[in-house]
Amino acid sequence: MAFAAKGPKISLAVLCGLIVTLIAAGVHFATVPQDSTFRYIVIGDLIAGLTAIIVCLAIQLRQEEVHYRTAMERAAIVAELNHHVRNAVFPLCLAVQKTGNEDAIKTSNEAVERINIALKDATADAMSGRTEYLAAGSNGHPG
Amino acid sequence: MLKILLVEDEPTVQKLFKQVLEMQNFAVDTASSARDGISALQSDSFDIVISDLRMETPFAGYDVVKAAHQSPSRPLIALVTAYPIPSSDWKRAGADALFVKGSSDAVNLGREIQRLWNQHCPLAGDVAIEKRA
Repeated sequence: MAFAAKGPKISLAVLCGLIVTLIAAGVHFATVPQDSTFRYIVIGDLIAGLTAIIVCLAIQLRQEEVHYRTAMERAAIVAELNHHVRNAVFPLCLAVQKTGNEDAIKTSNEAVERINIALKDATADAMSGRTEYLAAGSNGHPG
Repeated sequence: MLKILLVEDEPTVQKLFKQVLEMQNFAVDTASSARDGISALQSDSFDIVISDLRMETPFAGYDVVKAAHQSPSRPLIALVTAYPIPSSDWKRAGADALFVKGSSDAVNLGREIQRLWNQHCPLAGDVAIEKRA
C-alpha cells in the first residue's frame, strides 16, 4: 500500500480547482451577457474552484486515513498471530533443551530461526499490503 | 547455587522452564501469577527473577519488576514475552533483559541467563560457574 507524496496530491487538487473554474467561467462567458455584473459571476467561479480544491484535498485525506487504519488493523492482527505462534513454539524449544541433545537443539534453533524470518516477513508484508504470494510462487522459501 | 524466581502463568511452560533451569544448576522457585510472584519476593530473597510479561494484565510483569526493585537483594530481572516490545519500554520499567519467546535467545535461555548474571555480578557469576564445574 503505497502512499503518494504530498506534492502530487496538492497539484491534483489545484488542477481540479482550475478545471472547475475554467469550465464554469467558460460556460458563463458563453451563456451570460457580459455586463457590469459579469465580474461577480467570475468571482463566483473562482470560489467554486477553491471549494473544489478543498473537497479534493479532503477526499484524499480521508482515503489516506482509511489506508492507515487498515494498515494498523492488519499490523494488530499480525502482532496477535506472532504472539500465539511464539507462545506455541516456546514450550517446544524448552522441551528440546530439556533433552540436552545438541543435534536436536541445533535443529530446533534452525527451525525457530526460520519461523522468526517468516514472522518478520509476514509482518512486513502485512504493513505494506503485499498479497501476491500465489502469483510469486512459494515466496522463495523451500518446502 | 543461584536462586531463581520464575513467574509464569502457563503451567506447561512453567514446568519445562523450571526443569531446563534446574538442569543448568539453578535453584528455581515458581509463581503462577504476578501477585504470587510479588508475595514470593516479599517473603524471600532471590538472585534472579524471570517473569512473563502478560499474565493477569497485559503488563503484569512490570509489577513483578517493580517488586523486585524494592527487594533488598536487588536481583537480576529478566522479562520473557511472546509480544515483542520496544527496548526503551522494558528498560524504563527497570528490567535488565528481555527474552522473546521463540527467538534464538530464548532457545538458549539457561546459558543466556548465566551470561547475564556474569555481567550483572561478575564475581558472583564466576563463583556460580565454579560451583557448577
